[in-house]
Amino acid sequence: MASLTFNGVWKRYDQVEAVKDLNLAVADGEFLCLLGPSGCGKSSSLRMIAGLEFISDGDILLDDRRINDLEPRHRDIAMVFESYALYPTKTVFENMANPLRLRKLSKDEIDRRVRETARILEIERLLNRRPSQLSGGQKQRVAIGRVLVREPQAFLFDEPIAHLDAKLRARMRGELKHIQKTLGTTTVYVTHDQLEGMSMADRMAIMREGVLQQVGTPHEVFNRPTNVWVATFVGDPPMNILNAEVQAADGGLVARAPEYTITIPAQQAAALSSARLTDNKVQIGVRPEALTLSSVRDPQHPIAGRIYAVQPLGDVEIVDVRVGDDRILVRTELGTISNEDMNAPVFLGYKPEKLYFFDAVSGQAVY
Amino acid sequence: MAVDTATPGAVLGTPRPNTPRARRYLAPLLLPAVILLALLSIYPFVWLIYMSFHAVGLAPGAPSEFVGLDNWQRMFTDSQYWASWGVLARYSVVSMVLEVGLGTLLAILLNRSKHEKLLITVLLMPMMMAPVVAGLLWQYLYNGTFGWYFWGLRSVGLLDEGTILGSADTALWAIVAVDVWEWTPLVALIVLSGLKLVPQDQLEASWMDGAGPVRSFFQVALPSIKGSLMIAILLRFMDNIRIIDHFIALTGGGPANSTKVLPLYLYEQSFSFFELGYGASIALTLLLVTILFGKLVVNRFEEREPRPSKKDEELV
Repeated sequence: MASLTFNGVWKRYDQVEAVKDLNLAVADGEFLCLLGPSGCGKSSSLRMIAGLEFISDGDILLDDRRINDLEPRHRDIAMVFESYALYPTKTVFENMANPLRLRKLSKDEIDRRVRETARILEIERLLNRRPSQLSGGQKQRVAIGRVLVREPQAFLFDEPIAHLDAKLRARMRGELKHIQKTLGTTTVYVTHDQLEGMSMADRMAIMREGVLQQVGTPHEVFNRPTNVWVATFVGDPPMNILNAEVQAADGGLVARAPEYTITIPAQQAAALSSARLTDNKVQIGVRPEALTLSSVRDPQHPIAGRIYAVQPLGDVEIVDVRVGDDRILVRTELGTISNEDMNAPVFLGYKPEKLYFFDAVSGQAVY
Repeated sequence: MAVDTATPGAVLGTPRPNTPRARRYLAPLLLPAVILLALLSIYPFVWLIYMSFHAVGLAPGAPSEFVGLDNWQRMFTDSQYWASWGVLARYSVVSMVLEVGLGTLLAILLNRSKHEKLLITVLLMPMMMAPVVAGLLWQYLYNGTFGWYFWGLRSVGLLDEGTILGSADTALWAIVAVDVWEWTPLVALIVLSGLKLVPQDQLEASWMDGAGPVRSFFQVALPSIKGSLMIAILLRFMDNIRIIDHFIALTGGGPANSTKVLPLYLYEQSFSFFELGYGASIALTLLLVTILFGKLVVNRFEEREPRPSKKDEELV
């Protein structure tokens, strides 16, 4: 097992800069999730660790060893592919035994390790099948089995469960996390699904258009996003963003829009006045679960809006509200509001300490 | 992926293929082509069989005399017939092995090389030449008076006496060289098209597993170009087993019958000695071997993996 370090890594394809000056350290035994929408450079970063892409600039270190010029087979890193990439002509056993055979392990040792791994992954019954005889979930287990048998320096996962159905995905998230914690192998896991990152990773590294946006524990990223983009990317349903203007009032600051006036808490007001906003424009972020709803206007529910749609989800519901031109999602207990008709008036409440403020031009969070 | 998508034909109102209704509908459409093919190939085939049991009369109106199995019997005691099979076997096996081997190597070198398209065009040029022309060209190269290759081999001491085409030891291999020169590019092209279909993710997986280039070729690339190789082998074998052009142009079967391949012997029997009945018998044996080998290759090609059984799908 080993640590992994990116030192000023760039990846360029002809005109396109896929990864821009990536600096990132993955600690020994850590589960790091590279998260971002498609085309953000997360897969390129992963493939550079694997050795499947050349590093245009910068260094990647495995422990203290520079691995830029090592061939994939000499890096001792194992990877699970999005497409599973099983060998169609080999049986499940042979697929899993392949890396061990290439390492010239004894027949008994190969047999022992493959069967042991198959037992953990509950695929013992499938060992004599071929990939074409397996379901998607089974193939995915075999692909994971093929890396687990190896006991490598690090695991790389490239969207390994993206093609499974939702129910199986939820189960595999737990299994993968359990296996990683049991083995304690350094892991880099690429996904576009923030839920996978939130639920499995020790730390998340969020990328956008080749640039690393934020690195932190899921808790940090969720509660203290560095900018409006990260704030809206993490969390489901995503954080609501309201556009307003900062104005001075009563010795403090307020955020004002035609429909509402929000008093900005003192600490954030101080930060905002030193942040030098362009034209005093601010974006207010509030998570759907930090909002409350009422059918009548009262001091706790000062913002007036209209119902756009209601999505019931069993015990809770997501209420889609229009405030002026802004669309706001509210996550609330079932039956909080009496009139759920379209366009029915509804009133929104918020807790001031649950609000985020972003520079409307740069998108940077102001704390 | 959903397999159960509607076929385009269903949209147009034509029945789905391979149902009785479809066959009733499609059969009449194919009929003209089938009749034409029958006239072109089945009639001569039947006539060939007829000839092989007769002493064919040559003069106009002269009747053919039924001789039973005489032609067939003669074949078994004809030592040149068997010798020609031997020459043909050596020729076609060696050519095929060299062509497929070199062609595959060439395809691997060409694949994703910088000037792939240009190189392919250049390489294909020998193939576009008529075999007889190629034979004549090589006859100049092998010529014992002014041939470059003759001169070259003599210079380096590989050929001590005689000429390339004039000695029984070298003549056959000289013709093999011509065939290899002419047809290796075709094999390279076929294999190259197969290499384009090698799944990249499996290649990468094998590298991550720890395989080097040679190992990953045998593990991932070879299984997926197997089909292309089979096609190449089939094409080259069927071509080589009925080859005659190069032999006529270069040696005419000599020296001392050392290059008299079966098709050439058959040609001689039929059109030099006008033993049309005997020629027909020889032709039929050649045809039989070709069909058997073709069938063998096609069967290998069509080998499929067993389908997944339903009852085991449930786990996970």
